[in-house]
Amino acid sequence: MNKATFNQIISSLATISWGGVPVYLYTRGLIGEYLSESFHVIALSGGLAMIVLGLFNLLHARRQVGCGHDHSHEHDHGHDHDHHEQNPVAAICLMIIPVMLCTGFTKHEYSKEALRWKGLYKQRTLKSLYSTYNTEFTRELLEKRTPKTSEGNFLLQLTELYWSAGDEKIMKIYDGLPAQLEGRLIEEEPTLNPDNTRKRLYRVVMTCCAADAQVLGVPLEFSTSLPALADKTWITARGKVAFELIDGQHFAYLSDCEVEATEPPETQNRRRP
Amino acid sequence: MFLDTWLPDFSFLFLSILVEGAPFILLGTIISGFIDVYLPSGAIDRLLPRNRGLAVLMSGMLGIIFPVCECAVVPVIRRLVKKGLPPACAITYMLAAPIVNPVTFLSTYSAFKKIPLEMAGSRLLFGYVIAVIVGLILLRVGVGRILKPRIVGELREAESSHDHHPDHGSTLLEKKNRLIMALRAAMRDFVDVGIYFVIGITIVAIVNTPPPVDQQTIPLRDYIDGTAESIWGAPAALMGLSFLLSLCSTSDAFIAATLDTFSNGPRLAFLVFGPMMDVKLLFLYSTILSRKFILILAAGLFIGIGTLSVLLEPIFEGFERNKAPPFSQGIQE
Repeated sequence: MNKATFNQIISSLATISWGGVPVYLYTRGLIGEYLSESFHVIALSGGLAMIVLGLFNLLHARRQVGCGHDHSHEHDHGHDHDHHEQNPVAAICLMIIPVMLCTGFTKHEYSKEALRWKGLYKQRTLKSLYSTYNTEFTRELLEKRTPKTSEGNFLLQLTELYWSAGDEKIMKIYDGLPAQLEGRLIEEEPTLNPDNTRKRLYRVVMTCCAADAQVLGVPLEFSTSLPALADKTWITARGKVAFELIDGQHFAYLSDCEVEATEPPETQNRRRP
Repeated sequence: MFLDTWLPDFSFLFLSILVEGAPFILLGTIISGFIDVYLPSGAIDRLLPRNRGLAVLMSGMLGIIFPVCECAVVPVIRRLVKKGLPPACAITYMLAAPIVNPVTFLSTYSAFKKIPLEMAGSRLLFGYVIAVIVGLILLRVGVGRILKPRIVGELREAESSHDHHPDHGSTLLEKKNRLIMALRAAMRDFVDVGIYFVIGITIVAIVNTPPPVDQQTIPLRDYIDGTAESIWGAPAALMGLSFLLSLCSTSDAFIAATLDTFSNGPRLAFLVFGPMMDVKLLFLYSTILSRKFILILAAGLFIGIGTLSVLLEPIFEGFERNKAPPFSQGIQE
């Protein structure tokens, strides 16, 4: 085997290894943890295309396709492909090994510390959110567009409740609303939970991929004992929407909560029908 | 701490950026492979106007016809330069295409629901103007100061072979194997660019992973938010954020829309600087551009875009003057 064929084989393996990652994540149902929904099909098709490209070149690695003379220079005979040799060590060390190691080490989700770093216990405001409605947002409009459970709880999205804390008029509309939310349960920040009556419900919201994700969290206050559920369990929470003012900033939370464990939705971003 | 949390978090982030960006790099390298085999040398140059200034102006609009994001554009221009496209035109296309294209326009339009046309239009125009200014400046700079020495050497060899060797025509063997040659060139480019992409995304993943220390650290976003009121600090901070986040230009507007503690000028700086220069691009660009030139380009873009965003802020601010939110002010009890 000559050097060019060896390099061709290594490059093919590197391409196949990269293609294998999105295909593996997609077929295992994990792609939603990594990418927002609009990128799922792109990632799968890209992964399959990488595998096909790698396999195609692997099968033709020994085939001589050039014009038979020395290609150490550019030449003008209708095409001018360059023929520099790739360093196989670089391809192995920088393409194959990192991907294999990261696939082995990833837990397909953020650790608690990363969730905090991504804003789990922060309240941010989005002042322009409700101003995008063409008509004035009212309690009647909310009731009209939000489905209810058989017990009369409004099926709210966690993001909707989270951002409602940015506008005083909107807060009045939501205040006291019986609501049902879905998300993952986690312990509350000790400084925000002096009486040990709270847990927090959170969801990871991403625009492109997990790297740009924001973690949005809403406290759940329990009048009885705290639920004995492990951190990061998917739950359905029922309670009344309330707001509190801490250090001059409004926070939304759910009071008088009761929770039950539930199956995770298909992807992090997807709302359950 | 390192093995339990940092490494899994880093791996999670690394893979998320990889699976997002790699398909676009593949698309760019497949186009590049086919350009290599099927596009004759100098064909692109012949399509552009003979007047170099006009050629630069036209290159800035090529993204409308060939819409590609910043990951896909690098392998394409790398090949086009080798095919004889002047570097000034290539770099104008490289900087403009991720912004001046219909996909980015539509995503920006959708993200800014209150002032969609104003933000999408301003972004497109701002990006185009910056790319063209860079291109016009580069018309006066020698190729040797822009491109990597290896690429310059290849271009010179091509020129001398053109001068001294008559066109001996494609061999029969090459004609029969053109598809294999194109896909082989595509994979070679994919691996070339992929190596640099890995270095870039490793840095992005490290920056976005909480440091492996026991005490709690302050997230980057909190520092950034603190600059919102500063005239010069706000665009600088948001350009720094876009550099570190290395978002895809087709969807970065959805992040910019959530940064509404900032005014529109800094947000436009975020939307224009990010697709032109970020951590992963720094390494992707080094597959064709000289290191010194990349550093000068990065500094120039940072200063140019930052300054323009500050100077034009009164215009950008005016977008919302007649569209005051109906009930975002505090209510009277």
